[in-house]
Amino acid sequence: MTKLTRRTALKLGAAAGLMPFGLGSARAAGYPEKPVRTIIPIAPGGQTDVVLRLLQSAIDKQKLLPQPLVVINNAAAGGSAGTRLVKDSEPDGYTIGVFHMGLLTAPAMSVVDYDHGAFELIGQIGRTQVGMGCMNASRFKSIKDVVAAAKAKPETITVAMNIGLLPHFVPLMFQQDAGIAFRYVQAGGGAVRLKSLLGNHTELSLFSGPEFLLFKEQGLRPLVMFSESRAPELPEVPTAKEIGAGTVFEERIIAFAPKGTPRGRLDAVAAALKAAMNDPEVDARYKGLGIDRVFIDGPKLKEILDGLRGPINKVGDIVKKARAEKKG
Amino acid sequence: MQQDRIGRIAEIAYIAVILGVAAAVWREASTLPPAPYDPLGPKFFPTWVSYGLAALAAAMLARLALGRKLGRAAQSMVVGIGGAASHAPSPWTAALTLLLGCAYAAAFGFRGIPFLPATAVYLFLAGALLGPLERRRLVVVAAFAVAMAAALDFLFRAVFKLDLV
Amino acid sequence: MPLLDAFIHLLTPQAFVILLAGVALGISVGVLPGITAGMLMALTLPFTYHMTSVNAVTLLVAMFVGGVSGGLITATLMRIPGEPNAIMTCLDGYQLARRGQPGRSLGLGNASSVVGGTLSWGVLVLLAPPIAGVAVALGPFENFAIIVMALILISSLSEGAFLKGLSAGLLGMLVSFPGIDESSGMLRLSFGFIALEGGLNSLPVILGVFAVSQVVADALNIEERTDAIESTMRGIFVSLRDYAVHGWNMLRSSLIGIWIGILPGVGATIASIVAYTTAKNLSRDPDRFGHGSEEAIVAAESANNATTGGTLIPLLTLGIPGGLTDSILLGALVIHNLQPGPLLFKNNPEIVNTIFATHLVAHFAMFAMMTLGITVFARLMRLPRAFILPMVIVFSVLGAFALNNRAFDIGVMLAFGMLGVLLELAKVPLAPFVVGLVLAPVAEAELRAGLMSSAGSFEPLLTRPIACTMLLLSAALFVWPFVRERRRASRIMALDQAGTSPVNQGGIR
Repeated sequence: MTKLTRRTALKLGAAAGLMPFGLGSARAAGYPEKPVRTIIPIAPGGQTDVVLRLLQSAIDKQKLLPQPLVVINNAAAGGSAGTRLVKDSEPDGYTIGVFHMGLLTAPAMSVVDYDHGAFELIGQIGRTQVGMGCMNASRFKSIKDVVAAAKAKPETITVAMNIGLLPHFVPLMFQQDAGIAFRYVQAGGGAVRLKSLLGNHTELSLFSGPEFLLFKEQGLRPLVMFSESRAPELPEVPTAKEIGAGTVFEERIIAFAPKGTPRGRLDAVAAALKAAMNDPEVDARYKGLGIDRVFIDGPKLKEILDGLRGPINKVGDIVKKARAEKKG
Repeated sequence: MQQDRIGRIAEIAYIAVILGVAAAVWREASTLPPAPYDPLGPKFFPTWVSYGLAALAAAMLARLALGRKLGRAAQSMVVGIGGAASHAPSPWTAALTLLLGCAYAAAFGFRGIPFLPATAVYLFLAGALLGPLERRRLVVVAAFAVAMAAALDFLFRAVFKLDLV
Repeated sequence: MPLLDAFIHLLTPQAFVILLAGVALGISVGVLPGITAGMLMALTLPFTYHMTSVNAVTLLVAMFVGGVSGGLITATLMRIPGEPNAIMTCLDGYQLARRGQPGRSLGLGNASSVVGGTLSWGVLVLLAPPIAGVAVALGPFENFAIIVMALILISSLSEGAFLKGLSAGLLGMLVSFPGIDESSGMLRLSFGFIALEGGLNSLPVILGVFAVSQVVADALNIEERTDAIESTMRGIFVSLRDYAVHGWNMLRSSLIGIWIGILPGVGATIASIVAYTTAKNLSRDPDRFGHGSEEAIVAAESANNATTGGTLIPLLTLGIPGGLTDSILLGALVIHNLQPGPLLFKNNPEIVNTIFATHLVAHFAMFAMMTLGITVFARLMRLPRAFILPMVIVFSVLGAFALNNRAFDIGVMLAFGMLGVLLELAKVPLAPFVVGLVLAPVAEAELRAGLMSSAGSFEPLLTRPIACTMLLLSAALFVWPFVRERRRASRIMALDQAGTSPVNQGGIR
């Protein structure tokens, strides 16, 4: 009796999802028969790790899949060890991966030679808007001040970044679009970059929307957001588009699997993740973390990410050029 | 003296090791491109530390060649190696212990061999090695091996869900 | 008063049981070599998601405290560090135990742990915000200068074998370099091996060099009729007089521990090494260090427990974790919708106070449990080595594997086990190796970040006051051992001429 209900639930789940693959849902029945290894190339406790465990817990509790997900952390080599492990695993649906946009920026840094194209994409399970900010006491009162100052004295405004990841790439994209140049200083994760700003060791940095709200108390002021339209929780902050430098880029949490994993299995996992995201408790936690609970299915996500390859590679070339220039 | 000879051989081996490592690192580091934002780049520190290490190795060799001693660590952190022997040291036991450990590690990495039997076999063999080969003792060691392996397997695989196979 | 409420809450049955369980588990894991408190906390993290935030935090902080302290037991009774931060305790703790005073050795270590923890608790509770302010003001150049000072320690640790010690330090540095270079995001020194792209993590290396090599050493000496360490734990309770005698050392070492806890990426292992070396340099009886010096045990243990309070300061005030254990604590907070920072103090003072209260109470619970449990542990140590040694290997293998779920780390551990054996045979000091291994990456990252901000100029090292002072101090520290050796040599010569023969010859056992 239970088996029938599960099969029906899976079918319903798949149908309710954005995937009209009737064939897929029939084949998905019976899968997974053992726990699914979910590799996350991030140290335990990181924000993306937290989101994944939320979903894992919801899937387990509500039996959205007949077997649970087993979360395995492997943060070695900036995450490339974990993604490589997924890439080289058997495409049987029993190994999947979850990562953020580092998946796309890694090849631009020549750490690996593959990006999201080397995987089957299951879907996006979260998204945040990002923008740049400075301290309240800073000499910059608006993003226009920043652009003007940067144009007057190129490569003098220090930007705290995390090399190879969005806090490095997105300001680079912005500087390209705005026709200016910053000076980049390695710092690390959000809290470390804030510390750098607090101590006046750097002037600007990239933060996510939720981080701006969180760090407002300590004096962080957002100057510009890199979203399509103004963020509802930060209505007074202009977008880059508004000031003429059309940079739009978002941080996304992506679930993926080795190339060749059967479509049916991918859909089953996607359906489970989507259903888990709809759980009210999970919804509340997403809100608490400040992550947009937006699910995008595999094919549509692939389109979006393929489109981002161009801007990322362009920026990657700038980094490579900067290296070559140093040689002299 | 036996101890001094072993010590001297070990010193020379050590110097060879650090020279080799320094050379390998230096060569690999010299192929590194500069970094985009800082003047030192990824090659600076490895290169200069290898130079330093090579210089020290050369200095140590020179001292040895001149017949001077190289001094010894004031404190030994792993006591028992090269110490005064009031008993017969068992170098074969030590070597086999290390080898068994390596074999166990290899089995660990090889996903085809599950944790429980691998650990039980290892615990039994290693335990058997470290004492007289009497039947009674071996039976106890075997029982201990199986019990501990089962307990650990349960704890780490079932409770903590570590990805052991 | 809210902090008092937090203490009272801890006395309620459920909270108290959680705290005791956490400390007990932490101590057990600290005792077992290979498995670290960080690993335990990482494994427990999923379970905490279903607990209330207060309970989750209580459990994790209790484990944290228990874990830092437990390594002392295996270090003293078996010479194997249960945790990397117990490396220095292995030296003197074991020697003192062998001289028939295991109780005193453990008692001193235990007492020092509590004192260190309590002092760091005081600083945490009373001075967190101003210290956070200081931490923020320290930029990359300052951090670099401070680390250089710690690196100079290599010279003190190499007394008697300068060339060897320095080479060990440099070798440790080289071991830390392969992998992704933090400052440029570039892969380096992987020699074409994909596995090396993840670098050589310090935990398997340290496990290999100290634990695996010790097992091999014990196997070598398997025939040795060891007069098993007496389980008469006489002297386990440290008298008031002892506190007076060692008080200054405890205070100084705790301050060192707190300070190093605040610096990101350095950790308790370095804290215990720095405290040990400082105590040795300032001691009236330095030759005793390494042969059962009480001061050594006191210094090492006060410092490594004091880091617990220090490391919580940047974690709670700035949300910056100092290491793996902190990251897990941070993760537990985040999953409960709690973000460290001033908002946490304002909106969720009960969480902050729970952390404070648990930190202190856990230390006392740890003290009680270790004291009571010591006879049990001592008896366990009497198990034939045929049982213990292979178990040490199994735990070390598990610990190395659990770090990143890859078998490569196990191979690293064994390879460095062999290196450890070679180093010991060649009488190369091992402590400088650890110092180089842990500190080189931090020093490099800080210097290069500084250079990025100054567009390649080294000037700030001289113009920024704190950085400059630290560098000058480092230069002084570098010369100090030579000066002292010179002074001692001339003192011996003077005694010689006066017809008195020297009693001690430095550097020889």
